[in-house]
Amino acid sequence: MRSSISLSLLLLVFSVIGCEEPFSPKVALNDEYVLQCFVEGDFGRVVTPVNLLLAKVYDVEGLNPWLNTNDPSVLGAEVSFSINEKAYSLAMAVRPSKDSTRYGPEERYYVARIPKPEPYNVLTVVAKLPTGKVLRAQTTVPKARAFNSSYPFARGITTGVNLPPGTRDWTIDWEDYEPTEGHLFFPRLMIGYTKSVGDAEQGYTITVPARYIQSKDGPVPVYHTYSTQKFCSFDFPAIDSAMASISADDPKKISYAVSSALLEVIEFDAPLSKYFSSMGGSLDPFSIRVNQTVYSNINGGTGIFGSYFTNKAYFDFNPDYVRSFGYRYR
Amino acid sequence: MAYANVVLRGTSLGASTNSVGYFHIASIPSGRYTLVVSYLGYHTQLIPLTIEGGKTVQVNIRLAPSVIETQEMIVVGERPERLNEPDLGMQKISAQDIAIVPPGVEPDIFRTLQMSPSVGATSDISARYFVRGGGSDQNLVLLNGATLYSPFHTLGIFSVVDPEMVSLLEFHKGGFPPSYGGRLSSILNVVTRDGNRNEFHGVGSASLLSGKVAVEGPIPSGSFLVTGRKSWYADVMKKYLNNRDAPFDFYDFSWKISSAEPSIDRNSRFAFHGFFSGDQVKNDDPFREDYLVRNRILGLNWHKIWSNPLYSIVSVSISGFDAEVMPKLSPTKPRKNKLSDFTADWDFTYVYDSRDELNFGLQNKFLSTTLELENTFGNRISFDQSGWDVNAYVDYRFYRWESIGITIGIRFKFEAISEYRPLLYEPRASFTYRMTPSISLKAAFGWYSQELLTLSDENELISVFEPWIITPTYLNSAQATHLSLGAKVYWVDDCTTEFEVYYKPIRDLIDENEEKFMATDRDFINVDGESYGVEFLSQYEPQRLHMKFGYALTWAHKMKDGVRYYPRYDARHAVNALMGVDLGSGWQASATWVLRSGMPFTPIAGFYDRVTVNPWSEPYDYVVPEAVTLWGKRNSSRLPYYHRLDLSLIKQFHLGGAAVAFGANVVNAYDQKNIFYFNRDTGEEVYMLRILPSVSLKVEL
Repeated sequence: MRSSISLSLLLLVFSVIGCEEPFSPKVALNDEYVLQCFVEGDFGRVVTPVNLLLAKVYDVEGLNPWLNTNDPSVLGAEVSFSINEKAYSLAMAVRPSKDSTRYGPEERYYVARIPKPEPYNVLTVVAKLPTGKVLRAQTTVPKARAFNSSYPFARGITTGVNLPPGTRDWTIDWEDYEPTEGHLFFPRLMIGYTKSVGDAEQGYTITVPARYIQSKDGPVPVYHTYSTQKFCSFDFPAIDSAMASISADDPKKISYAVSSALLEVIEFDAPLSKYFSSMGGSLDPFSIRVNQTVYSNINGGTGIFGSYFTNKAYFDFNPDYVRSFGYRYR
Repeated sequence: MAYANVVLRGTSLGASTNSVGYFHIASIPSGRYTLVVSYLGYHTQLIPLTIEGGKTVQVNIRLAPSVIETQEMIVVGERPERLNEPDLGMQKISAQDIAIVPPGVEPDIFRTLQMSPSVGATSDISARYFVRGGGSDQNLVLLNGATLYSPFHTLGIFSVVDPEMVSLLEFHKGGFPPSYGGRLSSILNVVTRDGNRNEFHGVGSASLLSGKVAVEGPIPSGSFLVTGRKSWYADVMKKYLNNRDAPFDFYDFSWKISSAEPSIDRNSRFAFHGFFSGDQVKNDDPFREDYLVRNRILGLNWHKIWSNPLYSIVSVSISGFDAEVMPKLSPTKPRKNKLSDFTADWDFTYVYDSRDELNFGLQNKFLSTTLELENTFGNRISFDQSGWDVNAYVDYRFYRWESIGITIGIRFKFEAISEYRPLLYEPRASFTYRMTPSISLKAAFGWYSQELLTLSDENELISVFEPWIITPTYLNSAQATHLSLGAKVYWVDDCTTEFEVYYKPIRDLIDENEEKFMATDRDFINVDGESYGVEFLSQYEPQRLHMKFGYALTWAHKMKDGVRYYPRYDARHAVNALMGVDLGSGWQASATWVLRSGMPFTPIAGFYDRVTVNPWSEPYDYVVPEAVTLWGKRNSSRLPYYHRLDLSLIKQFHLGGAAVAFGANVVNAYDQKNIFYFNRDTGEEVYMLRILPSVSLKVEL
């Protein structure tokens, strides 16, 4: 009996202890600023706008930041952008917002029309905030690349070549044996084609997958993504499938014209490569990770300032290969 | 039988058997005596002896079980101990101690360990334990002297060691002697019991999660014991995983053949043992990956009494660990780890007439690890290492004084498996002073090193794949110093209180390089850390009652990139209470209550709109920003206090010729919502185990 009473008392105590205590996963908001700017490199000093976003870290009721409707943009900052030693000032500007649901129809940003920086140019950004705080970052534009193809394709791309045993893909590399500090590359191969609609020719592109894998729902395309690899490859069946899908169920194959494919390889500089690497990762579904360090190269704040360079090369198709699908070659 | 009580009636002379059942009583004057041998649950034996001067008498003793019921759950009686034993930080846990802890769904030796002060866990989901601010891979688990590399089933929820096969757990939380090495924090020495030498015996039991059997019996000159366990109802696992699908399947299987054939050598005894366990997650969906984890141990122990009083154990074992992630068509990357361990140890104990002991030995290990990984960007990494780890130790134990016990020893490393071995020698010492018959003061000191580690990301609360590797060649191996002071007070019979203060600085821990942003960056870096604290344990064990209350105040932190932070297993306060009571008529009840500080976590410091580059869109720098979290200082906040009450009620009865035990258990009896983590994407609070009733059935033939 005494044991029962003791046990009941204990349970009562535990029930009281079991009351929930208030808990918040947040700490008090401090003044913290975010600078974000991506710059594309190119040859020829093409004059282009450089856009820069400057914002303040904000808080919301609860944990859903998408509920924030107070524009966190920082106005009135002095922002300078320099290519090597030549400096340009960025001015406050307004443009239509792509997402008007949060901060209204306009987006505030800093912009300057400047010549696109070339490979190896050193870029520096300095933002002096109205509070006196200074954010600063620097990067170097990636170099340009030359491509090498695994097949010479004397008359253009075709999958009808005599393949060595065990090979069934087309590989393009841009290896030059110079260290790249782990730069990330994003390759994609696009077939450009036109379709006759009445008297007009309308242009389209289709992206070629790297390969297909079999699933219970049929073949699934796999595309290249960010990688440090200095090559990319495309299965011949994937090229065939992409070519075939241009006209899909359209029986009028002759209304399509195909001539070449465009290979684009975007090379990201060191800060952007680290930035995307730090946001990547593929956990298994049972692993739960609670922290994640996202790379930032902004001194005095957070965010990212980086550059990228898009390498391009056109590869003609073999006319016979194009015609084998019923398309016109031009 | 480990730690049986052996005394010469009518004298103050006596001893307790060691972990494998040997004892030695030195300096007995010539004469006729009666040796009294007792052990809980067994008939006490009285053996007449005649001692002649200058001669050693050897006695082989076989105890017979008294009553079967006592093996299920009963108050553990007075355990013999040498009152001047320098054993600070050491805890002996018997099978009955394991049985008394409410089992939840499945009895578990590691959950029993977690009832000890300064032994913590980061969640209900994991039986992984953390000792005095050390990481979980700093704990060595030995099974009959062989290393058990992955002692957990299914995400670490249960231990692979079936309590049915356990004779004794020797748990060293710090200051462990030179005969143990290779880990920084703790040693758990699991000694499996021998089979019944008198009659055949079988036990079958079932819980909601698994079924198991144990069969044992005599063989010529010895005995055998075989145990096996197999999961059968994976749906229970959903409770542990917030109802996520968990197609787990596990088994473990062990056997031990003990033999002492006098016609071959009356002074030798052999134990041939094996252990195999496997876990797999097998998804029918080709877009979800499969997992496989396996342990294997094959070992031979040869116990030999040379010329009294020199005693040796030769332990030869092969143990291994395999883990694999098979991605199938999922985006998960393939990963594979294999560890092979060949161990050959030769340990000696020499007992002097003064009762002092000299322990010395040679411990050799050949280790090889293979790790194959593919990183996020498709680069394959193969990480292979192997080498010999050759150590020798000597440990002198002064027992000659009634009120003082001292051990002084050193462990030498002749050959190291890592490139930058930390220490060539590791001095160890411990001390006990019986100030009064009821108060002992204790101290311990030691240097420790570790060259083998698991690649675990402590930011992952649950991790399926934790591969073992040898310290990378570009890093130093980790080393630690243990300093502890304590006292033990014997209030009255059956009531003791232990108090301990410790300090453990650690250098060159191996930690994930969170600044690895490029493929060329190092995966791991060396970091330093330290832990210190105070712990208190009080036990009251009168007849039919077992009460234990423990409290630990602990600080643990690491230094990384000049920033000091608390690791996730740092629990500032921890309270453990255990009560078991024999209610009579076959009814037994037990309860545990645990309270501990919430885990450290990295708080939300605010939000910002992050712009990303989308190579699929043009222009690349103009996509809709993504609202994301800005994290605060690492692990600078804590979750609310964690507390939980578990209850167990067992009814034992006889049915025909079988002894039956039916148990009803409740985990988290008052349904406390202990926060496990916040979902970073949704802000959802994910709780640890909510109230979970279960039943169990055990039948002994």
